[in-house]
Amino acid sequence: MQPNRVFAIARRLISQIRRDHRSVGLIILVPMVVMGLLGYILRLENQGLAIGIAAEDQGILLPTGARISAADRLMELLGGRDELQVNAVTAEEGERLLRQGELDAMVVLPEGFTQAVAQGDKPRLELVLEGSNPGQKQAVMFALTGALAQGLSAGPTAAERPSVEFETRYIYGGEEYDFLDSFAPVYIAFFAFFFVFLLTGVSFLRERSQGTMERLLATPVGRGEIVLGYMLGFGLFALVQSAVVLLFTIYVLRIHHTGSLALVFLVEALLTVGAVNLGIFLSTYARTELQVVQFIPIVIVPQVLLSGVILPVDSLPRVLRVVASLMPLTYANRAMTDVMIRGLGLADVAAELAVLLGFALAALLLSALSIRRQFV
Amino acid sequence: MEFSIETVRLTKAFGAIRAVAELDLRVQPGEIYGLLGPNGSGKTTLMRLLVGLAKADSGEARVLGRRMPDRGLLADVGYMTQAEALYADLTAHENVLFFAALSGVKTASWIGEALELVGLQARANDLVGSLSGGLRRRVSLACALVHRPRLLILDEPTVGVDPQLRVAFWEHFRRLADGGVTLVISSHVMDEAGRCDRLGFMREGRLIAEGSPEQLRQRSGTMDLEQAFLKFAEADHAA
Repeated sequence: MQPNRVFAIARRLISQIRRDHRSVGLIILVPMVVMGLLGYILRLENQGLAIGIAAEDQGILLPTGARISAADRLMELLGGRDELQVNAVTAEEGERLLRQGELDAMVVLPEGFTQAVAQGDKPRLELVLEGSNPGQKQAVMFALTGALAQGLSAGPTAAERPSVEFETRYIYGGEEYDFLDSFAPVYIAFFAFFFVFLLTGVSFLRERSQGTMERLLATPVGRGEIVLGYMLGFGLFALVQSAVVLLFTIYVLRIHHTGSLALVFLVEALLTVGAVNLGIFLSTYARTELQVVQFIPIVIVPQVLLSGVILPVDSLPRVLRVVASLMPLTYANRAMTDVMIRGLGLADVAAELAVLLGFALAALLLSALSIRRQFV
Repeated sequence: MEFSIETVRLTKAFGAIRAVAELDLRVQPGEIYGLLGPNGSGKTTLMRLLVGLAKADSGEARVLGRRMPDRGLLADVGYMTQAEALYADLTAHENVLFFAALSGVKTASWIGEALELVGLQARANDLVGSLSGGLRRRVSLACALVHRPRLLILDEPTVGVDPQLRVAFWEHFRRLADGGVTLVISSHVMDEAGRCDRLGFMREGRLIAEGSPEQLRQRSGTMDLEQAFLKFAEADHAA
C-alpha cells in the first residue's frame, strides 16, 4: 500500500468532478432543495381539508326562548380549527360537491339531533366521505370526534357525555379501501414515467456519444421518424410494464379498482409519450450518463413530492399547487385515481387527458427540435 | 458531363478556425478520390459537409447534382465515420440490417452480401461489443455500403485493419469504382493513397495540391507520396 498512489487516484477524481460544475452544484443543492420541499409539505399536513355540514336539524327552543342547535355549535368548533374549512351545505348540495372533489367530507346532522343530545339519547350522525384517500378519512374522523366530544359535553346536558353513533358512507371506494388502494394508481403512473424517461435519456445520450446519431443523420431518416421510433419502442415497454404492474397490484396485492383498464392504458400511453420526448430533449443537455441520472432530482423528485404521490395536491399551499399544475404527473395521477378508484369514465377524465396530450405534444416538439441535423 | 461532387468556395469555420476554407473540389463518377492530410487539416469536416451533417458558412457543395444538405439524396450516399458508430449490444448482422432499413434496402440478401464482402459472415451473429477493433471497422464499412450507394464517403476506413484485409478492401473499392460508384476516402496512411485515381493534399482547410499519385510524385520530384506531401506543405507554408 503506497499512499502516493492512493492520493493520485483521489486527486484525479477530485479534478474530474471539479470540472463537472453541474455535478458539484447538484451534490450540494439538490439535497437542500429536496429536504426543504419535503419538510415543508410534510408539515402542511391536512391543511385545507374541506368539510360540509348539512344540518337537517332545527335545534331546540330552550325555556329561555333561545334556540340552540348542535349544528351551529359543531360549525363553530370545527371552524376554529386551522386545518379545516367548514361550509354549511344542504345534503344534496354536499353530495354534489363531494363528487366534484370540492368537499372531502360531509357531516349530516339528522332531524332531532339536538333533541337527542339534550335528552341524553345516543344521537346518530351521518358521515359522508369522498373516500379515495384514506388519509383524509382519518383526518376528518379525528377532527370530528374531537369537536363532538368537546362540543357536546359543553352542551345543555353537561353532566353526561353522550356517545355519538356514526353512520359512515362513501361516495367512492369504501371502508375496505386502504392506503395501498389510494396509492396504487398513482404509483403505476409514476413508474411508467420514471423508467421511460430514464431509459430514453440514457439511450439517446449513448446514441450521441457512441457516434450512431451522426450515422443516423447520414441516412435519409428524418428527425420526426427518429422520435416516433423511440416513442414506439419505449412506449411498448412502458405499456408492458404498466400491464404487469397493474395485474400484480390487482391480483396479488388485491387492490380495489372499479374503472376501465382501457382508460388506464390510455393515460399511461399519453404519459409515456411525454416521458420519452422529455428524455430525448433533456439528454441533449447531458454529456455523460451520470448527468442524465442527475435529471432525476430535477425532473422526477419534485413531481413525486408535488403531484399527489405523497400528499393530495389539494392540500398543498397555493404556490405549490401552481407548481404542481405544471407537472404532467399531476394530471396523470388525477386521471388514474378518477378511473381506478372513482370508476369514472372517459368524459370525466377528458380534461386531464387533454392536458396530458398537450404535454406530450409540447415534449414532442422540443425533442424533435433538439435533434439537429447541423451540429458543430 | 456532371461531377459526382462539386464544391465551390466551400467554407466552414469553428470560431476563428476555418476547418474548410474556400475549397473547390471536383470528383468524377467512378473515381476513387483520396483526401490526404495531417490530423486537423479539415478532411472530416469536408466529408461531413458533403454528407450534409454540417452546413457550410459560405460556398456550396453539390453532390450527385443536388445541393447539400439534402436528406432525400442520402439513400444514394454511404458514409463511414471515423468513430465506429455501431450498437455494441446488437450483433453485426443486426447493425447492418438496421442501417439497411434506414436507407430503404428492400432486398434481404444485400445484408448477407455486405457482411460477406467485409469477410464477416462467420461472425455475423456475434455481438459487436465482443468484436475486436478491426472487426468492428469491417462492420462499419458493411453498414456504409449495404444500400449500394452511388457515392461512398469513407473516413479513414482502414485504420486498425490488418494488411491482408486492407488489400481486400482496396480491391473491393476498385471493383465498386469500375461499376460506376464514386469513392472519397480519407487517410493519413500514404502507402495506400497510391491506389487512388486522384489525390487531394489538404492543409489548413485547403487543397494544396491535386492530381494522380504519379503526377504528384513527378511534380514534387520525390519517389514517395509522403515526401511529396511534405514538399507541397513546405511550399504552401512559405507562400
